[in-house]
Amino acid sequence: MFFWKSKWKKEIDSVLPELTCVESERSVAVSKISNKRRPFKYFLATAIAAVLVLTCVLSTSLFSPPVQSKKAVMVEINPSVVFVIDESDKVVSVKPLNEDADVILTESSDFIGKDSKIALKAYLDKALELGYLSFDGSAVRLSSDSWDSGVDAIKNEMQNFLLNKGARSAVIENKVGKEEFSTLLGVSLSEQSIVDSVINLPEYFISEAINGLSKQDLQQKYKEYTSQAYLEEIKNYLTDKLDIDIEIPEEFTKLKEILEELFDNFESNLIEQLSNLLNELPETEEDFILKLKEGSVYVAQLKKEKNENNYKKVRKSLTFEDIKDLAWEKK
Amino acid sequence: MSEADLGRLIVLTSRGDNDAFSKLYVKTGRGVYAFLYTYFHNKEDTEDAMQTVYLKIKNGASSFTKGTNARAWILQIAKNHALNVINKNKREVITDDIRAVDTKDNFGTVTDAMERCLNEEEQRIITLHVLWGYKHREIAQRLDCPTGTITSKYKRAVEKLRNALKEEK
Repeated sequence: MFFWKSKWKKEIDSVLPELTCVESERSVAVSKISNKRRPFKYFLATAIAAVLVLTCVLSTSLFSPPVQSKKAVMVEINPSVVFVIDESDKVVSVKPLNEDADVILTESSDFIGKDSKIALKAYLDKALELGYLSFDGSAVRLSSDSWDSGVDAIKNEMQNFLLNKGARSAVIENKVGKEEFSTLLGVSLSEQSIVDSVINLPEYFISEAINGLSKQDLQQKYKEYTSQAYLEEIKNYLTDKLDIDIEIPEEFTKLKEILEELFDNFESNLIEQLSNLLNELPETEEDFILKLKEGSVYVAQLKKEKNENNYKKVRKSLTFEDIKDLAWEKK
Repeated sequence: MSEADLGRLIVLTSRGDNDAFSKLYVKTGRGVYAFLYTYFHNKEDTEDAMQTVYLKIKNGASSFTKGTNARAWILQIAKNHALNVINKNKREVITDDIRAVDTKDNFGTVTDAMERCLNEEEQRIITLHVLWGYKHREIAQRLDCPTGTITSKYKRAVEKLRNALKEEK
């Protein structure tokens, strides 16, 4: 027996349990290779369950009145995002349409399955918290090609929410046709419906741009993206929050030295993590996305820090009901 | 997967990223399972422990400090949980005796052979080296003993295991 290691690994893989501690609302691709034989009663129970489920599904679809299909609504601040809402007003998909939306969505991953009005308010709240939405007159555009009373209700909820927060921002409605909507979303108007196209968009905005790149191009793209996005973020942080105007050096290591003299706590830690990310080049597309996702976490934290005082001011104006409704307050 | 990548997945898990958590499970599940099995010696308890350990990893991900040892962090959670359960159940804790194999499990050739011929410490050394990629020096640091001791224990354990597997043939 010369290959005991690989055999041992296979043995363990074959009994690895599926985790139950991940919310079912987001599908979890936990690999499970199971070779074990199931007892007959297992198959019997599965068969009975399948028949029951099938009966329920058939009776629902045959005897219920036809339901309104899913619709997509796009929210533009500077971050642009599209929500897909099902017939019962629950969010079934959220997709970023630019890098800023990636940052917001990295910060808030629990929109799926939430009531659309609550999810949209939660999204606005996060945009306010991260400083994407100012309190003094920025506009939010809500677009849809399936504008109905449900979208009207969402728009009114969003507007009231902003008013309650003390943000003088208007929610502008943008009723568009299919063609214009698909252009806005950047999806092609083909046989596939807009909703399906949106659902098939990548979870992370930049995914499409790096699809199929060679390792060298991947690393080049990563360098360009991170040096632009992270350096800008740090510079904004220093000037806006700390009122420090320094020349940002090309190399992060030098920047770290400068920053360590300025502060030795939260900020320098975040900036250090960003600098580590900048210096570790990705080997694969998966690695690229993982690194950017992590970068988004730190960028969001810096943004939150920077915008903290502004946000605190309006936070006080929230009613208890508003706070209770916000998705992340329930955590 | 490197320490940095594991750390990255933990950080993302702490932000509620379930995909990252799934990946973390795919990358570490095998090692955690084998590690827990050296404490429980049966599938049922190990599977229960897996659920709790990963729940703790998920809920405690925010307490992980980026840049620190991610493997050690995960293994510490697994070890603490295993010892808690064992203490709670008032079961016999770590001994150097070779345990009787639970014949009901019939896990697989290699695992059964390990259970039969290796003590818990030897099983853990093999798990840490083969599944977690720890070097003998690192295992020695973890177990607070000289590197040479770990190297010889590892060699002896592998020899015993090979002999046991040959006999089975």
